[in-house]
Amino acid sequence: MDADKTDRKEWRIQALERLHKELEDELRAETGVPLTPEESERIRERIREEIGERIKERFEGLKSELYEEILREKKKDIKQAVAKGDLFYRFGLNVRAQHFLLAASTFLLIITGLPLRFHDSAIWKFIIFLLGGIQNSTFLHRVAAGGLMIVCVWHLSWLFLTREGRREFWELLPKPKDLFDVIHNIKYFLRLTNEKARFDRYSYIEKFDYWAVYWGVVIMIGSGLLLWLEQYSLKVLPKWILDVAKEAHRDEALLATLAIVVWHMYNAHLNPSKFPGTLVIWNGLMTRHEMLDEHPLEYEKRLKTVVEKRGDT
Amino acid sequence: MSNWVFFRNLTWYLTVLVLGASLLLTLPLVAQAQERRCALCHAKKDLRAKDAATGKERSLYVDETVFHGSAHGKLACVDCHLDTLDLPHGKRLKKVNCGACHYRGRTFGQGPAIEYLLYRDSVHAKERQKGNMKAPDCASCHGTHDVLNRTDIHSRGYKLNIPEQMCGKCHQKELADWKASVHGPATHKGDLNLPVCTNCHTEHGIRRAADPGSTVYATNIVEMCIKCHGDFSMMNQYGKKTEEVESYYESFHGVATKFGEKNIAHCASCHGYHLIKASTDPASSINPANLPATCGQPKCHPGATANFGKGKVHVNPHSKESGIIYWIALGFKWLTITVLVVLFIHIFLDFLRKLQEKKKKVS
Repeated sequence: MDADKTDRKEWRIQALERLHKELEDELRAETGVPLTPEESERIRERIREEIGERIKERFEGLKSELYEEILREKKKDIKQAVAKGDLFYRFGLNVRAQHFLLAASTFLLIITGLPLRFHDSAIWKFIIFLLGGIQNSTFLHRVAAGGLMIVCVWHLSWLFLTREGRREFWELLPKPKDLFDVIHNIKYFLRLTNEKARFDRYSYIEKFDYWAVYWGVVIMIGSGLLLWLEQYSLKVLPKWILDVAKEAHRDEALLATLAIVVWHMYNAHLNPSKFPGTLVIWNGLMTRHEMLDEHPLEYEKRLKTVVEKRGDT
Repeated sequence: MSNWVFFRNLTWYLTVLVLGASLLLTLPLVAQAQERRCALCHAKKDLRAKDAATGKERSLYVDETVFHGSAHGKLACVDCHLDTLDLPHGKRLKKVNCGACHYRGRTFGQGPAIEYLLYRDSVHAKERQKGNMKAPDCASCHGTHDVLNRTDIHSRGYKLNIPEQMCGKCHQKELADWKASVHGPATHKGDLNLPVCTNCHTEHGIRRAADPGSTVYATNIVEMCIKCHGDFSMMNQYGKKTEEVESYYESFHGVATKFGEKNIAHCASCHGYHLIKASTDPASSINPANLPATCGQPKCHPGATANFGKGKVHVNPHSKESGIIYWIALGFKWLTITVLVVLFIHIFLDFLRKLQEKKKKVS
């Protein structure tokens, strides 16, 4: 290996020398005057620079080509896996972006809102201190509230204006099967049966998570707007309505936070079959194993379409 | 011979004894005589002298009976007037330095005294340092030869005498406001619970309200009010509740104050500072008719309407008097408890079952 390296180095030096000599000879032939050592040194320097730059360019080109190729390969792999039925697209980019905005604004709302309720505890005081005081935290709370309102409008318009949204809405609607699933799962938990409930695209666990957001968002945005725009709302409404809004806001805040922390945290992250969480909300992909485990009915339906597309059995 | 020696020694002993005893007995008399020497001039009622600095004539008369009845009555004149080197003193004596006795490391009398240090950082001392001689020093409030113990009902420092005999001599507007307020002596006849100047402003370390170290600074003033209004047994005597304090701290105003925001309503922003009146009084700032003006201060909620007065101000969601708010709080409480209990049961069962499945798979 080392011998090979030194060989190559020597070869490179010899090539450079040769190039240099040729250039020198040509120049001498053109001008008829022998070059001074300074001039020849300058030429040599110039050649080295030129070659270095070319190598660099070539390398950069190769590198980006390589990246693109890897990405292309990966995409191709995923496509193949999806076509074969090993991977499944669960969430599109739109849904993932909605979830990201919802999660980010909710997180911000919680850490800037709960300190106001638990103003005596040191940890929340410290968080307010980290955020730079009560004025900054209340400003951030309003920014995050804006994010939440945007995601609401976005989601509702997506839900009813696109074909995909309407299909998802239908899938998310609570149905009698969900009630049977609950009963079945309780039986399963109590070991009265060894079969898990077989879920379609959305389980009752996920449906609860989804519809709870509606209840929370209506109360939080409604009361929050009343309190935010108090100089206008108090022109029309008596003070006690705002007191009601404030009470509802702080109580529902706690309920929503606890529900998210307890229910969503457990079902999406902490439970033994998922810990520490999956990448489905980031890349939208689910493996066949996960599909079989969590959404067997949807798996069957989608396998059928996969098989039809492939055109064989 | 021996008899004579014994007798001679006895004479010596007796002489020494008698001389010593008489010396000891006359020492106080000597001190008293010195005081008498002060009194030779200062007991004369018409003793007056011109002040070299101001050119005003003032009385130099000292009433001995008043002085002997004062807290310092057992001291001699020169114990305080330390620069009296000979009597009669020719020049005008310096002002007495109270700190010569009332200092932090004092081991006699009533022990360490920190009032001097507190005063040194107060607004009064700082004004004097700037050259404003109207600002008080010790004697301006406590008097000179007639200092009495604060427990004495005739003392200026007696709680009920402080506003009129100490602070009110200069702060006349505040005195008048306080007298007309619910905290004034008219509503508390001889009641020692009533707040006087020093209860909020402290006694010696008084600072400007704009000074963050002041007890009446925007973020500290609530703690001054709740010393009494948060005291359940004291408020009970007047048929009042302490829930106003809790409800304030639960409100946005209170929370912001707790997090150190100073441009936010505290007790005095709405109730006033010295002229605090009951909400039933038509002149009160918190009378429902005046609430729009009070809430609508330019810094707070400009353009406040009568809607600000519709509904309770200090809302306690845990008392039934709050009406609908009480029921909403109660409803949310039980909703939260029920939802969480159900969710936890589901999670617990799911967790157990999943662990079991995992074990099965591993084995």
